[in-house]
Amino acid sequence: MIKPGAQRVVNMLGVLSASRRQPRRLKLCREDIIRHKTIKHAYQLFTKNEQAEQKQKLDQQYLRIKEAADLLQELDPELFAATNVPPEKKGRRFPLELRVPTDTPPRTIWSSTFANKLR
Amino acid sequence: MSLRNSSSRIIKAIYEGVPATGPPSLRTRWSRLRYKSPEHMQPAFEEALKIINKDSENQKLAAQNASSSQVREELYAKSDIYNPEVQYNDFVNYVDLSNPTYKLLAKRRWLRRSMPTMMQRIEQLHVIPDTLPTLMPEAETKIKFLLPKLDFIDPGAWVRNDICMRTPQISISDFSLPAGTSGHYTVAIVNPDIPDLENDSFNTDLHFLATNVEASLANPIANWAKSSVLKPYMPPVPEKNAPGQRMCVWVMRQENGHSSNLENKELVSEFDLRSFVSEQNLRPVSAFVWRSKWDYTSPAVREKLGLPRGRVFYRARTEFAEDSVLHITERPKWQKVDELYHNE
Amino acid sequence: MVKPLRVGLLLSRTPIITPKPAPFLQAYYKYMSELEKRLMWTFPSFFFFKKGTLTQRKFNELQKGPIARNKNIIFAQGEPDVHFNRDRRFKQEIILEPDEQEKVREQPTVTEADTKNDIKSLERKIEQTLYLLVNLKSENKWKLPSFEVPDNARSLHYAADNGLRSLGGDSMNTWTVSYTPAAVLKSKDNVPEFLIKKHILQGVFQPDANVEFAWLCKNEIKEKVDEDYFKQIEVLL
Repeated sequence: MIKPGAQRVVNMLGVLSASRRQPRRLKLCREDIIRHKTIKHAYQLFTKNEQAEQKQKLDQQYLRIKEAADLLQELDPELFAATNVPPEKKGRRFPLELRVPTDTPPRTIWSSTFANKLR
Repeated sequence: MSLRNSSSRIIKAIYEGVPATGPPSLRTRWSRLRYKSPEHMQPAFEEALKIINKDSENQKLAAQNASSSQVREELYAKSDIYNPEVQYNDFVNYVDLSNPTYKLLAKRRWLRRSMPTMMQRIEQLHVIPDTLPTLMPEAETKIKFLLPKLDFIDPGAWVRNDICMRTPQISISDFSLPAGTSGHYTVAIVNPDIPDLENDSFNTDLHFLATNVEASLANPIANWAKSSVLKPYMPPVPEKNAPGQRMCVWVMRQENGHSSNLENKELVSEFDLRSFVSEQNLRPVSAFVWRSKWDYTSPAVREKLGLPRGRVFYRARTEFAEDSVLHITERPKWQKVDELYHNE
Repeated sequence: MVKPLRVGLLLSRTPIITPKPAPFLQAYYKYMSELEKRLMWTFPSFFFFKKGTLTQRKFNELQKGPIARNKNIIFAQGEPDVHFNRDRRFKQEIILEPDEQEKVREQPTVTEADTKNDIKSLERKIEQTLYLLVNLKSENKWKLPSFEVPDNARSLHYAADNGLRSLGGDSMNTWTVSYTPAAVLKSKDNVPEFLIKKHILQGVFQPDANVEFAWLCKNEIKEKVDEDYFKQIEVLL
């Protein structure tokens, strides 16, 4: 029977020590190394393609924005100037009601009742 | 035959998962029984294979519409590199380097591992710009002295004098050539560290020069008997207390292929590598360096070569360190003792 | 008097739930989590449950202990390597008391509006982004809501906001993403239409009887609108 203080130190060391808590090293055979590599390569390809698609879409959207801005400047300089003013401090804060998508749906999916108090 | 047989079973295990009897790549029955694959690997592998095959098909389609044959070959090579069978063959080094896909994998391995090491040693040991101005690496050079238990040496290694006595075996893998073709090279070994006491400087010596050396990725080892050796190999014979000597190996591609002009070239006494390269239209594609200094085998090497005993140098004492480049002077010890006796 | 341009509105309802990952990603994540579990360090139960206490006994009783090593037995599939009540060759599975495990009842991802195919509801297709499309009875053509810009309009987004309120009532909370138009649509009558992006956050769109409307996702929009019109807005969806 060891003293309680010493027992605590033993416990602490046991929690921290790697030798007994570490699992056995993962040794893969050649087949599984190749299979693992294939999965990793596919993941790289998948994410690369996804990012490329997204970038292409964003580039196209940027071109559309630029086209619209150029045309507006030509047609109506006053309205164009109004698109570039910094947002007013009141009333244009980022809305707290904007919901971040979650993994599972909430009980009430959409809050249909809303009374506009500003007007 | 047995290799093919076992490899086909292994490839089946790659595609369909490790069988209940264990992975066929393991040798003993005991280790096969004990082996456990990671869980949920097979569904992930099957989905991964779909993605890889689809990407491969897309690249092959793009290759069909490629403008030049070189681009087409590259795209075809790229389309297959993630194929599990190709990856396995590359892993066990069961490859045919005249195939563009395996060539691409070998090239990537070289670019990742050996090429940076080679360039680092060449830069740190000032092989560039001491011998040639610079190098754009295109080929891998490996050097071996044919002795039992001696593999290819690392670039920049110190090599014992009796080991580097014999003509080195040089392997040239040029990755810039189209797959399946071979190139002609000129190989020169120069030593820029011969002490020149009169001018307080160093001289450059030519140790080896061979031209029309043919090498391809499938047969990278240079055959000296089939090429024209303009200067046979002369091993380094460093002298005691002199600074270490760099043996700089330069591999230069002959842009016009086999050249009889080079074959019949007569060497002048003072060989200048820079002018030689520009005159003969050579393109340096790879380099290597090893070092040697005086060690306990040096006297025996000199004896075997029929050279006189080497000089012994001592540290030169100058008022300011910058006054001397060599920092050594030729002053045999016994001479000093003799002088003492004579003075008496 | 009106200006020689129109303002359109891309009013969207952002997804309520995250989309399901692709089949490959699902398999990949499963495989990776299994690898991670296999390589995880052993849970130090001796640190959390004091030796000889009731809680420790309860915990230990729930666990499926590993097979212990025995010198008299030949283990053909490898000898157990047990440390801290875990076979270090495999992953460790911790079993908690059934009451302690959180009982989560997930709501269905297919909603009532989906089954009824109610295209006027905002509760449909909760994985995807929905966009508002209107069909004025006078025109009989599905398109994004678009409004005339009065001569005294201060800015495009005000004009769009006023147009939306006059069309669909005041009982909705919206947020303008940017004052800058997202795109310009060109029509045959040569009046450019500038699109302003908005999100609907709360409330519903309630127009008059002579306006048809629908909340549709990208694929459904393709079926409803003209081909030329869809080509112009495809990138924005």
